[in-house]
Amino acid sequence: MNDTTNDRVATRYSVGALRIERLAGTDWRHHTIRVWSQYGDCGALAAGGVARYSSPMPHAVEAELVENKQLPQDNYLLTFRAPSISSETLPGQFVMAAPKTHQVVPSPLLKRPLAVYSVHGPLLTVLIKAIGEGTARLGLMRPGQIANLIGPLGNGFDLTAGRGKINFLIAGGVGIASVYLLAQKLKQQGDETHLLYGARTAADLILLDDFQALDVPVVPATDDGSCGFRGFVTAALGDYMRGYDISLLNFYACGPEPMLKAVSAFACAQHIPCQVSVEARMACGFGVCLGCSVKTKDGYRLACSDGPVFQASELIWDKS
Amino acid sequence: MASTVNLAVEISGIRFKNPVLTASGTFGYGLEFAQFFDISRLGGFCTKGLSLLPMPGNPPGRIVETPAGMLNAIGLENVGIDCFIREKLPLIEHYDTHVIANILGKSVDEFAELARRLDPFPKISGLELNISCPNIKEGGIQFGHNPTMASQVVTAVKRATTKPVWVKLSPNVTDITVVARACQEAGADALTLVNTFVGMSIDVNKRRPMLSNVTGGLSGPAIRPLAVRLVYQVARAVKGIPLVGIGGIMCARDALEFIIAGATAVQVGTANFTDPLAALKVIDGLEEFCRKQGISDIRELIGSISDCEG
Repeated sequence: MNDTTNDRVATRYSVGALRIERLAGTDWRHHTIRVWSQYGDCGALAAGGVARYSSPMPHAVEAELVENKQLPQDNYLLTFRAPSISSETLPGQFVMAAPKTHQVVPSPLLKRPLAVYSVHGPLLTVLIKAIGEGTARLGLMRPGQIANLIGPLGNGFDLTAGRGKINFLIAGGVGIASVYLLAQKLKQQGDETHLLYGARTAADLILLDDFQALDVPVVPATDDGSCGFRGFVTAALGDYMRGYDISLLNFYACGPEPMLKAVSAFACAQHIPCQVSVEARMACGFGVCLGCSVKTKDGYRLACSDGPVFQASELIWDKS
Repeated sequence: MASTVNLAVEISGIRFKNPVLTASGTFGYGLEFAQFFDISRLGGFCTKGLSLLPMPGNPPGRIVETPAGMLNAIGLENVGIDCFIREKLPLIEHYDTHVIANILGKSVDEFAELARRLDPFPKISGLELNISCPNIKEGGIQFGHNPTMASQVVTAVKRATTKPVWVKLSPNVTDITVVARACQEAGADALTLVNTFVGMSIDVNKRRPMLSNVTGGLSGPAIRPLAVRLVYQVARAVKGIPLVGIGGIMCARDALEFIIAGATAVQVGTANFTDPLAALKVIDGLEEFCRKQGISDIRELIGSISDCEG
């Protein structure tokens, strides 16, 4: 451990050994050499666990699609065989993905960032909602076909923040993709975890069974009241948290920007620790194109390599 | 019988092991790609544009994909020259590849000062002057659109440095050969052609620009024919200065177009986003092409286009 290193890096990743000195005193926002642990566990690292250095060390691989499970509302759960990525993915990290093509100029040209929904041995599952051309083409993939994946990318959720806390995972729409692996890990470390899940309508509330199988209580909310609470998930949150000791609460959120903005404002006002996973258009996914800037109290930072998970208290949301 | 192919080229006194560099703004400070491949295999790479002070860049809404390309309006976010020298340069020191520092000033003096600061570092093989960024209000393109100002920048930088000076030109001009010639006469050692084309994309639902900067620079395969033509045009009109071709190169075949049109070397840009190994594949593809065609030295191909007159 090196305490002269920027606190955030030090606390989040439990920095140790050689490269650390390089990190010390650097403008870490632009520093691509990051430190992480496949355990995501500062304690284990401090005790001498194996740390991985030099960025999240993503792998660029060709991965076979093993299963394409179609879900309601144009959602697809794609499972790839990608052992090098699956074995190193932490909750909240993502991959860049595109179907492999023999065209010199792929269409669309750029890969799409996708949150890792779950990992199981060599298998890695992502959730996509077919909205644009990139996601639509992924949704059309058949088992046996190959995708180009880069990952794991980004900085995931800090699990230590959830230790000994009552964790509320607050997800909106396809944002559910980012919190399943998180729920799994929180339950594994023995921490109380609840899911508050908002969507437009009942059919959009997908994958509830997966969370119920983890014994995670699910609080659904729909805009039209077709399932659970009628209204935004943030309103459901205000309701649901009555009866809980506020000082024990810890939030993790992922969803559309208005939802994240509302959850962040609420958490900050109540002094509840809150991490949010943001979404942004990006070209590369690994800190080079600088396209995915996010406004923070510390200036612009990158959703791909500084995030996608940020502390709610450090983000600045635009008014519009 | 497989014979060896010479891929090495020389530009402005720098010997590149192969004619493939990666483009400024698509390759960070080099380290980001070291996690995917051995960047020592590259002929060289151009750093993200460096300014005297760190620049924050434009507000979000910086990129958007377009047909066969992308628009960007990053706004030259960079760590600044001091941070680059202190923190990035020591880490790229041991890679066996040429580093071309892309620099950007808001004034002639700033360009000269940047050149002066980099002069003591042997790892920097050359400078590439960015007088063509379309995404900032001050500096950059104002020099690239005006032959007199371009000439002043080149003259000042040449005085401030012992390193070769390349100038990256803007395609957004009426006659690129005028600026090219002005740079050559001011002492430029090579010209990089071309930077991005100004473009725009609109969100029709919200009826507002996709980019916070309203306009952005178009890159990717969409611009390749435009860029090839500009290289061809300058190669014919401005003799005696090496050209570095750039614009939408995705594969070796694309790179060959630029070389045959008159470029001594090429830069791979947007393709690095599509496939982090793109530049490597271009190198391998060039070698394969030469071998298949029985070409022992890639330099035979430079400017080798046979014109069909009439």
